[in-house]
Amino acid sequence: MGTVGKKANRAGQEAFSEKTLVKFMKEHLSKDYPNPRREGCPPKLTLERLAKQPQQVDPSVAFHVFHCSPCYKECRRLLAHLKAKTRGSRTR
Amino acid sequence: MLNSVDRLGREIEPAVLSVAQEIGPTAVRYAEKLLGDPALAITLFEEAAATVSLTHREKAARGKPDVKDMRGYLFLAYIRRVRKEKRAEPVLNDPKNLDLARRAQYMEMQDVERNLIMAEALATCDTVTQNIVLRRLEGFSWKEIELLCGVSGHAARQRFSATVQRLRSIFQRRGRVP
Repeated sequence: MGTVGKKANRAGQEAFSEKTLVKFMKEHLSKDYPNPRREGCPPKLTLERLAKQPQQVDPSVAFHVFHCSPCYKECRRLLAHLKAKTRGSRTR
Repeated sequence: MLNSVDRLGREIEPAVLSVAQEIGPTAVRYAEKLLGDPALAITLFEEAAATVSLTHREKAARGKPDVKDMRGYLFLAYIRRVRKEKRAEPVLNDPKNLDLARRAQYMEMQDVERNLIMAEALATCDTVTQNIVLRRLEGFSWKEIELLCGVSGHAARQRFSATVQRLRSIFQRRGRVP
């Protein structure tokens, strides 16, 4: 394979790498489902429960979070908080 | 919001209709943004629900197991119907032959297509996988996911990898770079 072919191959691999696809998943969930009037959004307490005890929450909530960018962003915030708290308590 | 019969006169089963009523506002809002026409978005949603009803009935008649995740199944059917509608729009096949305005339209179409590919790939995730994906995207370790989601770290990793692989193969099949 020539230099050009190798470069194209590398570009293709990078375009479909897990890192790139994860980035696009995040962008898609954060931007592509605007819901300015917050129609059908669950209460914050339910989102907190989804972050902490996902098995205890109705499946419709996870579905909603996957299709509502404001709720997804709120959930990200809660998960980041939970992660920091869990890791903080583990290092202590 | 929804009729119990689609525009082709096909009935929407009560079991499907109740799920359709639940996810309808979210699904239709999403499609409306892509199609730019609220009435068309609802019409296509009813069509998707009627098609799913037909599948539901056929499965029952053949004694096959029922659809496990009706929400995801219906949403996926809808996304595919929306994509078919978008593709039927007379815009573009060869961007080289388009003038500037149409090129802009072509770019917009590419964004829509990418958006629909993402939605399609993620619609196939069941609830457990959705919970895994949510956490993995935020950098949770497999061990942390295991503790929270009630599946082994290995199973969680497999589910996540399958989702990424599904996305990758859809993009590759369509020859698109995300």
